[in-house]
Amino acid sequence: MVGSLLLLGPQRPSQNLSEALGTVPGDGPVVLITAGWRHDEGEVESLQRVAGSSALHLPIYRWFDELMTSQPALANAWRLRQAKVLELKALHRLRLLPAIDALRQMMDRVSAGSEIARPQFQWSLDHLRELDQQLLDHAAVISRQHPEVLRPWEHPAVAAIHQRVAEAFAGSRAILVAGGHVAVLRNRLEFFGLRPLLHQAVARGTSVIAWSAGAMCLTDRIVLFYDDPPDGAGHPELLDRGFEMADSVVLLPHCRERLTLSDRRRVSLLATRFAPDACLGLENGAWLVRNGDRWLNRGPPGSAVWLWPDGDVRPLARPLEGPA
Amino acid sequence: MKRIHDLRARCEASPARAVDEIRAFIATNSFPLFDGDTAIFFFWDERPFESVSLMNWVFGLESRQSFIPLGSTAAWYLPLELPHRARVEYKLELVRLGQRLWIRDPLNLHRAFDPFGSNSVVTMPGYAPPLWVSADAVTRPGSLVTLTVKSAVYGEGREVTVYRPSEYKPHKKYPLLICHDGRDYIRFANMIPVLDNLIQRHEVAPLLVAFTSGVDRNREYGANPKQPVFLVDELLPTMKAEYRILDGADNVGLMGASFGGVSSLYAAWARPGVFGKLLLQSGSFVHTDIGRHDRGPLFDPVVEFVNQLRSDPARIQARLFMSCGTFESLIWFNRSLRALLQDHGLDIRFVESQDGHNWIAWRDRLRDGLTSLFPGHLWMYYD
Repeated sequence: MVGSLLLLGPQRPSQNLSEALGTVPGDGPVVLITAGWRHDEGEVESLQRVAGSSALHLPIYRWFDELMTSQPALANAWRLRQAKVLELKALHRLRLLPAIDALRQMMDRVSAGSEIARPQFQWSLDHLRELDQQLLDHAAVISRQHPEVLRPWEHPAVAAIHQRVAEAFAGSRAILVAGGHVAVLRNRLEFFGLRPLLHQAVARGTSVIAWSAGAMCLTDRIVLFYDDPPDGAGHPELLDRGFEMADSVVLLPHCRERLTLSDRRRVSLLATRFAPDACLGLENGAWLVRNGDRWLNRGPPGSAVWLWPDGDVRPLARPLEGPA
Repeated sequence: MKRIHDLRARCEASPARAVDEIRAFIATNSFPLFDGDTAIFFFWDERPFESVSLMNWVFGLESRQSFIPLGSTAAWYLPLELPHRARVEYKLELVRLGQRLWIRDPLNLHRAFDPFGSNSVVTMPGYAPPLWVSADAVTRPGSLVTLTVKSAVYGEGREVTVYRPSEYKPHKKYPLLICHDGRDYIRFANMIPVLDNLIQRHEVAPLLVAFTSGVDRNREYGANPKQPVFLVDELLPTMKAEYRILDGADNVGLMGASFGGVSSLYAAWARPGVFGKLLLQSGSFVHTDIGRHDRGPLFDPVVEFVNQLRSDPARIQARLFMSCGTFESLIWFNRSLRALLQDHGLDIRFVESQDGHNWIAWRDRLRDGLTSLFPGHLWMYYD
């Protein structure tokens, strides 16, 4: 039996984790991953109250820090690669901003009825999507250029932890992945080889419950977003590929706070850019479950919303029908 | 202006009904009225007045703007063109039987408070109070504790209010920001909810803020050599003894408005390498190129300091955020100092606002300043 994948919205101010966990069959222990909380990773008392006293916490943020101290060669190799990725992001942003500005202007011209602007809009959109793809491809190239940290969990010092995680997953009923700092979380999961372990666990019948940044990490593409930052234009940008467990969606936790949903142009641009994936906003109470090739929201109406390419924002309360 | 002209026409057409017309006009409008970029102030009282004026502190605008009588009625009006997004604090001056009386605008309920009382406020289209200045039920509040700093330089204990973010843990290290005029920043600039909101949104990194207040404020903050001693040798060690502060000057900031800005810059200049971040709002950075200044003796040490600083600006080892209102005479000094410091390679973000020398203006720029100096992981956090 294949395990379930439950994607939840933010767990504040009220949590629906206990309710979601209650639907997961089996009596094995629950595994907790809170690396996205960074320095606060170990403060899992409230989570353990929900998950049960037998819940096993995997402090992978701390383990990573310890390895970076005890394994200087590995740490150097990792940092070198990360520095290149950061440089790539900075350079990519230089190309991304004018591309988005151009696309917005084309969008305005199309809205104003310009026939000439229509193909220009499409080409601008294609260009933007190409830039997104180039970022992911180039990041993959950089990873391959650093074979010593391409599969860090095979490093002797990391392999023992990888094995420990695999054993924890093996007998578990559910794996909980909390939100927080999405880049830190994704990187730590990747470092310890949790991507294949999570896939294997689900295939064996273990359920994965993830919320906010945790849920974002399980999708195909992780999109960073904030429409009104103190500095800059607030254009969404890709962080990286996710773990490809939840396909066809881009997840946007706290979307009402972080996105100007009343701005149809921004909504349209975001949804169009990442189509055919559905851009789904997750608020407190959201609870996405997979039903065949569709996502359903078992949470209260409006707790999950769907951003449509036409600029509409609609509650996700019924099976997805896929944007046009 | 059409509404004013129509009212005048109705009053002139039927003088016996003028009072009723004016009462109805007041009852059916909110004031000031707006006509494009013009705010139209209105005043009426059953008693006759010799003159009515709007008193303001906008640099570049006559501080006394005279109202115009509405025909032969006891009503007055004043059209005043103001910039888009402008926010102006004012009072009305009434003259009756040769006596001058300053009051808040009775037809405008908007008020701004400061240590001296309150003023009426007009905000032009385009201005709205930021969403992050008010406390709400969802945001997790930080906590405030009071400690006393034994000050040898001031010969007494000085109370400091310490803000700890909601996530505060004694074992964790945090950046520290020391805030001049702390009581006023808390009371008049809503600084506690501002911190709570910006930290919860991850726009600002969780940090400790030590709110300190002067006793003989203007003398202590006016480039007084005692104040850097208090800050560096007394307050900072006390904070470090009580709390875990992140290492390095880059994690210690100093802020203030007006003379508080002077004191912040002066401390960074007098004790270079201690404060790596400066948040300076409407700093009273008066200086001279030749001759004497005309700001009074309180400014003597300030002018002397700023003139010295201008000859050796590289002594400042800090990243700066500066803000100033375009309605302040200080805007010229701030612009000038900014250019000078930038020319000497200092990292500065400078923000101007259509506002004056007041606490709401300083409140409204806190997001710019705090996010610039202590940025959070805004793009990365999805709790």
